[in-house]
Amino acid sequence: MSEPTPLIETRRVSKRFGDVIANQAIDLAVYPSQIHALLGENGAGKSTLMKIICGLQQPDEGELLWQGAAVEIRNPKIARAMGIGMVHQHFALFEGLSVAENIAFSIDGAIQGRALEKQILNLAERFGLAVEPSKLVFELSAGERQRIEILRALLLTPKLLILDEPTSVLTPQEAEQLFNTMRKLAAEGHGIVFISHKLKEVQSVCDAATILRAGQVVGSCDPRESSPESMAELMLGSRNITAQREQRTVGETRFEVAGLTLSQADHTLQVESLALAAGEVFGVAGVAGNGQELLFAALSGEVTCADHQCIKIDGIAAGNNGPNLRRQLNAMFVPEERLGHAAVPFMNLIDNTLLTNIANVSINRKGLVNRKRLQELAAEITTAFDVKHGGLNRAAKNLSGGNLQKFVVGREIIKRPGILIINQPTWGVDALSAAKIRQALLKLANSGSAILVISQDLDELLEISDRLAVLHHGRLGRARDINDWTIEALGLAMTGSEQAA
Amino acid sequence: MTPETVSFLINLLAAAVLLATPLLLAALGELVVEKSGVLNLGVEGMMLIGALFGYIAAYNLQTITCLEELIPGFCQKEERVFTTGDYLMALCSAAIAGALLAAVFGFLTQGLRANHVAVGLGLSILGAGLSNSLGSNFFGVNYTSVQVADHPEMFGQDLLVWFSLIMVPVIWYLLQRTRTGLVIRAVGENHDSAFALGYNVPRIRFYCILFGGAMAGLAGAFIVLVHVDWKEGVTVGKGWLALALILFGTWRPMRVLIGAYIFGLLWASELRLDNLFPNWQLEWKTILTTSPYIFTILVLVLISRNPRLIHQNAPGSLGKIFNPPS
Repeated sequence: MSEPTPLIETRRVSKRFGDVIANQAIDLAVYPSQIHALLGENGAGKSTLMKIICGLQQPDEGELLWQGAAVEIRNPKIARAMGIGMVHQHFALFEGLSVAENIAFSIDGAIQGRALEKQILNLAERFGLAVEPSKLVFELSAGERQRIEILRALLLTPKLLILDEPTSVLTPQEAEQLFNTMRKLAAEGHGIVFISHKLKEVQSVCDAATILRAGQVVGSCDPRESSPESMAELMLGSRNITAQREQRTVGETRFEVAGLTLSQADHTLQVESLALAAGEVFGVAGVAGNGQELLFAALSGEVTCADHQCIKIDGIAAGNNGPNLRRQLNAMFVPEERLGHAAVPFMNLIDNTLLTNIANVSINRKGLVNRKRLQELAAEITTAFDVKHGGLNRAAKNLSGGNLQKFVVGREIIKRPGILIINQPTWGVDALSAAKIRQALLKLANSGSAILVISQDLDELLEISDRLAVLHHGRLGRARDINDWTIEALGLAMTGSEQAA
Repeated sequence: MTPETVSFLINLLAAAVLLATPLLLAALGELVVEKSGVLNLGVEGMMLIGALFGYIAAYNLQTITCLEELIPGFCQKEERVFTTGDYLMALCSAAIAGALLAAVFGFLTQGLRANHVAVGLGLSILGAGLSNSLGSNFFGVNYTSVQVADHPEMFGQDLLVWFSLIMVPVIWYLLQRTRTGLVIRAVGENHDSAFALGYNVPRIRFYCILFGGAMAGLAGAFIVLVHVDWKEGVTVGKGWLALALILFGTWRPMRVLIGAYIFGLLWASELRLDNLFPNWQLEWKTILTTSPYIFTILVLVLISRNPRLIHQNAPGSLGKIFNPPS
């Protein structure tokens, strides 16, 4: 067989957002009847590349070839007309409209009546996608919604179908159905791009894979013939796992979690046991969207658990306590979202200082706020943590990400907490500020505090953690000493292929 | 029933229809606006501007008809002719005036992405102020009122009454059965998704806002051409009631129609309370007078308790500012 023409080909495609390089000189070719996996960590540039292909974004450099001819895909309509269908990770469905109406939106002609319903049902049957056309979308499960997205894309008879992390919201059974559909589509000649973190899935369904890291193609392989270890290593890169560090003396247990299970909306959390010792940094790794927010909420008390004994702070049960009661036990918390969660964007730094110091008796005296002391405290924080600000009276939103992050972290560290729980401490923060925040965390640990860091940044966790556990699908895996982890084991755990140990 | 009772009831119903019509017109227009995800609280202002310009047009047309006679002295009040064409011209002026004011709202909220509620409230205040000052400028203190002696009628009702009734199924069909309607609803439901599918969200919304403004203008014109003469604040809060009526009707044209006619009937009976219930005490009458408002609050509370009803009908992006992803 002669070399077939790729359906879509990107040649040296680059895209920058400010200083961040999302894609750099990416070459990718997807052929008809191919299920092509696109692998990479969060922020590796997969979504940007797909947005360029389906016309939502324009490349800064490089060219796109559609069936061998150079094209410019200026908007999604053009992409659809060419035959590129995309199923987004976050469904672009209209909740108040019926299934049929949602689907009708993407096709011309009749939008109502039996003919359309019949067409939908025919197609649904052909690809094994069960749907009920008259149901309203908000009543449906994630899996059903995704089937509608796929049907909607299929009704346009695309030649190329892009599935952006389609299995992240599916149950294993639903995922299996999806794979069958994908195989049927590929058998009919469609090209499919399958974005996923889960290597097992990629191995079971894909026949080509391109691996991205930090915006660049770092390798391609046939996933059926490659080992998950080698793919994980390509994804994560060869990192030095045994960082040089001073050995800390680990003291008694300060924070304990036992048998915590929670479910909220469509997220669940399961932590069988977790113990933080004085003087240690405990890292929680995991791909975004695996329950990090819920884990933080459960530990900080934003979501309380039914069993009062399930969380103990310095031996005192605190399962039913909210954040302020837990703060009184000298546990402090820094949530992920700087603007809106850790700090109120439109309030100034002084008032933002007050927010986590409500229980501080030197500031809150029988309900009256000691403004003078509060201002001093805010000044202390900004000085100690080198927060550059245009005056303490300026709103938090005026600070740069790095400076605000230093402020919200410093606000807690300055209180010398016995326990510090911190979610994504350096997310979206410049390198210098990030380094300072990590230093501050290590210093705090050295002074005898127990610290838990939830982060998507593996390098960061490898740098500062003493022990590490992986959060996958809301379940916190077994904690291991940092020196006992290998990069393969981490990669497997993060992609859900860890052997039941 | 005695003949008096029958004629009283017919009278009551006729009055109810007349009172309900401006409410229905304004609410139907705003319904389309809200379905597209825009919350325009400026209905009252647009009604007032529509009322003023409808009235000015009618006044001028009346004078022109008079001048055409060219013989002084013939132009007497009783002999002024006001044709159906003039009536339609006046209505058109009102609709255009309402739509122009709505265009200001559209430019600020869609073009400059300003807050819907703030601009909408501003529009209501602006409409009230502008219509007052323009009105007193134009008419002065003493003016002869417009006598629309000969309302163009069909089957014993004003044209606009039939128009408002026809618009109920028309808007229902447009929204539920046509592609245009589907696009409008989709834009209102989830503007990000609609944008991602390649629809120009601000432009679609702008057209809906213009339509809403025109309908509000018509509603205002109906008040001054059919109910009463122009005066300051002639719409007496009907624009606000139209907004409540949409919630009351859960964004459905047919329910909005029913709601409007219930309001109309309550008002009509309110005006005839002494005839209806001569023996009632004042307190009871007060309660009946406030009943439309209490009724609205009750229904709104009941509706908001039903997530399915809200989800099914309330536009998901209502009042939210659309920022296209960069």
